[in-house]
Amino acid sequence: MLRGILLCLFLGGLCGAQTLDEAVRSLAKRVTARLAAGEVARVATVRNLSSLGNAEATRARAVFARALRQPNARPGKPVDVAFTISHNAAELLLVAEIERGGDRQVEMIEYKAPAGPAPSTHALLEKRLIREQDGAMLDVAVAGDSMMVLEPTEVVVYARRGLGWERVEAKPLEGAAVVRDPRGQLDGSGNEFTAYLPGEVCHGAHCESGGKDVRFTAARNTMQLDDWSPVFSFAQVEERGRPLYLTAELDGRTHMYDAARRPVGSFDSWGDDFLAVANGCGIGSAILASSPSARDATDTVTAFEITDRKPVAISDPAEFAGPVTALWPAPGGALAIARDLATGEYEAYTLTLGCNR
Amino acid sequence: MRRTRLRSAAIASCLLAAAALDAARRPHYGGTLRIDVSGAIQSLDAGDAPADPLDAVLRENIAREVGPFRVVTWEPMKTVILEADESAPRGRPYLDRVEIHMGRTSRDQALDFELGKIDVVELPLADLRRAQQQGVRTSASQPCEVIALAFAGHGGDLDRMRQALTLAIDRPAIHNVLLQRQGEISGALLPQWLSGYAFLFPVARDLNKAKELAASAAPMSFAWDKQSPLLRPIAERIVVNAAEAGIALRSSTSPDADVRLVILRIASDDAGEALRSLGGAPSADPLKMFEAERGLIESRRLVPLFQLPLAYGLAPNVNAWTTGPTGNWRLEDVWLESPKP
Repeated sequence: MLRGILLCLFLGGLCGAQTLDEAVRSLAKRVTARLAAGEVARVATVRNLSSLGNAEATRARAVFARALRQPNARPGKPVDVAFTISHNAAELLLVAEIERGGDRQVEMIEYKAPAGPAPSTHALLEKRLIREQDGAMLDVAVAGDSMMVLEPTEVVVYARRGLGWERVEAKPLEGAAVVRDPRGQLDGSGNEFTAYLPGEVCHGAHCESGGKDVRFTAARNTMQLDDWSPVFSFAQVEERGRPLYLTAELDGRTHMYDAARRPVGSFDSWGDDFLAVANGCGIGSAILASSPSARDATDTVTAFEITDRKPVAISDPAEFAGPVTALWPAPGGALAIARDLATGEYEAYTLTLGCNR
Repeated sequence: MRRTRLRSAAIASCLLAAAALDAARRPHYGGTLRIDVSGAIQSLDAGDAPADPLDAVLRENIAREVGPFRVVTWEPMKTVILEADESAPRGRPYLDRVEIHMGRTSRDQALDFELGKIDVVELPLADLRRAQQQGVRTSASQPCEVIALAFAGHGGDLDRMRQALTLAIDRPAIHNVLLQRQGEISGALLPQWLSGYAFLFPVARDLNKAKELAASAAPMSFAWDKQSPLLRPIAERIVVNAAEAGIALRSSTSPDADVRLVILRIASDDAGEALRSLGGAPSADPLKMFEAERGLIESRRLVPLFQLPLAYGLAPNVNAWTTGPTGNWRLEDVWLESPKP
């Protein structure tokens, strides 16, 4: 008994959590308490004004009707009860209206539903979750039993412990500027790292503004490349032995430039994040590109080849439960970070492009 | 989690997806967003708090944006120019500047929008559907304004007349025709999305009972904001409905009129706070909230009629424009797409 109570205290909310059936029964109990001797409640109408599915609503109605039937009750004077499943800004609201002639009494009860299952993603490009957390991640570097996570203002170091990762320390990046759509990259292993943030390069905790090594434009979300205008992404592939450059530009299109940096075409079927990776089937480079979906929508990353200066998908899309916020090179493929729209958490995945035979 | 999801769902349903799906997804920095509004305010000083709900929305919106933006130009009742604060706590906003042109009539706004001089305009609810059919991108909030009748006094006859007028008004006809089915018919002060129990307040028309209650009633003076293009046609229809029940409503401009048609604002997306701002006593228990709201309607001698959203028309290059549940802007997330070649 005591163990049970302690377990309940330990599990806290879990033991206190009410099921929908229990909430409906509580409402029925309140209705029954309002009945006079010789009165019998009868469910006259049922309305579902909430986002609850039909099956759950039907079940709730059945539970409500059953709970109103008192055991061993004799036939009595029927009293109509209207049962409504509603919701307010936060919770489901179960409402009963007891009608007697022109008189109406109201009872209601809030229902806090437990979390539903997280939306699943189906990976077609090989995708492996390596880290998820509440706060934003800009890049993740894993080397052996050490992992470093670049966040907007610090680098957090983790060490592998058994099957999980244990936080070892956080290294604040002194002077890191806050940017609204933050981007950053991390190079390094062990305790040594270089973090690239908008307008800054941080060697360890020490950050310097400006300089030739800066990769991201200060106070912006664009990349800064030698002799190129600011772009969101840049990739280089080969076209008949000569370089072909791809840039995600501010007009929302992907532009292609030949070896002499002359524009040779553009298209709008990619998102703003892409990179070149080794093609798993051994024919030059492939591009992994996010989709051009909105920032409040789910996202995908798909592998492409450039054929006759047009993007041709060579893989099924890997799906993400929210927008891809970073796509960087990683050993053996790429690292994708996405923000799950349902949970708000950031999730980091490794992506590897295998040969689909 | 469920709380978050339901809240997100409730709020998301009001945030019409303003971002074009074919747009590049990463936001762009730079540019000036130009907004036309009908409201006009003198200043952000607390002493200048406007009585008009639209002016109050505008004042709150500008006050809220002073944070990620800085006010660089303030011409009272005319123009406000905000400039991005480079050291804003959550990072510099995407836009460089925001120009808010105040006191613009619906006609001015429509013309400015058509000529491409303005990126965001207020849309009268009656025009919302037509604008959408014409391919204009629109954004609407959750219902955040209540149109209600407010009675000046109480006592035997006036209470009877209030009940008669409540039963005489043909709310579905007004909602379908004059409001083009925007918003909701409601007998509550707090909208259904916020309280969850608004459906409990009666809205049915009963002309026979209204006639019975109004028998041998004296005429009543009836006032509304004659400048409001929203209120005028509704007030005129109420006069007709009242006459059908034998109630004579005489147009008045007096603030002491027997009956006034008013707009009340829902000032918070927290039901308790919203009820408190309207003068009620909030409670954590929904049943007590319902009873408090019913008591407030009674004590203030109100007859809520409709819950209405605020709507905006957006130029094609405006991205991530969202209107919060109480009609609030979120300019810090808005960005402008560069013109495509």
